[in-house]
Amino acid sequence: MSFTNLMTIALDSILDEVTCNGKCTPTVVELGNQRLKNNKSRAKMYNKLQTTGTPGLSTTKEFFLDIGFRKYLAIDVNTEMDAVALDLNMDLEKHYGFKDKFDLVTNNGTGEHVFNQYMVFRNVHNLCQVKGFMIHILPFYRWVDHGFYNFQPNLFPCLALQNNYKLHGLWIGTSDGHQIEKLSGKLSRDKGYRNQYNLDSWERDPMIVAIMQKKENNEFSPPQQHLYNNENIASAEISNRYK
Amino acid sequence: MDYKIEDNFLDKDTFKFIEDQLMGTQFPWYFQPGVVEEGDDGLWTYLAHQFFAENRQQSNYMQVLQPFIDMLKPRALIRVKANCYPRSETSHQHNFHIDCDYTHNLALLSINTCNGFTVLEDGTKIESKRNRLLLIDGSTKHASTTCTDAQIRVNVGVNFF
Repeated sequence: MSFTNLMTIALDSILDEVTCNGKCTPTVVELGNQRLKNNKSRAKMYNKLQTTGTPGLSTTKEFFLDIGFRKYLAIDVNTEMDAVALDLNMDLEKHYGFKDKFDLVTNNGTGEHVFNQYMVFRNVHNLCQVKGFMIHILPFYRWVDHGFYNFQPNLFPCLALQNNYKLHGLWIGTSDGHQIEKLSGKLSRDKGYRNQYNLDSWERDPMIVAIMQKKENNEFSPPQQHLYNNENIASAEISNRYK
Repeated sequence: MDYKIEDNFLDKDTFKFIEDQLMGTQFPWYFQPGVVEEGDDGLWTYLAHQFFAENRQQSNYMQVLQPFIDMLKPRALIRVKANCYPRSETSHQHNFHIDCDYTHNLALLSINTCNGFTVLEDGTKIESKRNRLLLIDGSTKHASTTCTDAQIRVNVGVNFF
């Protein structure tokens, strides 16, 4: 996957908080190694940071270190581009003993290629520090036969509710960042997105962006879709599991 | 600082086979211009042989170490490297370093007994003893030393999950 304008814009939206306005040096882990591509949005971010950035950066790690992060790691199936090879279908803590925590965890165009979605979101949760941030940028609409899955907006408010995350942003947008629509983050599904945002006319396939903050040191818990929650569940054994 | 030592880690025959290869006259050692990447004065060098790195086998000698690696039961290998430090007149401790900046296992198998050692961040010194395994977190600082009482100090480091 590429570290696109959309990813940079998402990062920019929480950069002040992640870096404590430049007073702390956070750590980041990315699911999937990322090819650095986003010159325009990076220039905007550097402007905001009142710096020109180091010229000639070629890797995403160099970029993160350049904007104040102290540690970068990618997790992929190979060791290219500063990655460590770990299988995201597996529980990283239990299978590999990998218990490191990071201030920022990104799932930028990677999770859709992994079969075990429970484990993807569980690993993101476990990799994230309390008060740390999680950015998911995943295929939403079209993206025909791109990965195993596309993702729907209502997943993320439900995920946030179940795990007590703060939902900082829920967007649909294109990888080049030219089109971004900010959604309300409501729990209920909305079949109107396609027409409301005229998604069929978008030149590039729309992605979903979810920016969330982990608020407590809790065990990961899979959500129930809001549509089928509460009074729709007849079994107390099931309903007691969900918020 | 957490560490674990296991003496006589490998059975006699397995260890002897590895020892014969690594201490033999035909084993290919490669010159390394510096012991650690940063902070060294540039005058201390050593020899190494990389068996596994970048997610793939790097050496035709990998099978020599396979019984040792199997004993560690790794879920994923990061790096497998043998180190050979030439004797020095006085003992020299190289600079502290980490192998990777994320938590993982480092298994160091000493191939020969000598007065060289591994120093952990808290100052703990682990002596080089033939067939001794030292297990630490490879993301914590550690340093190697030369020896003065043997021609060389040889060990094998396996970084793994």
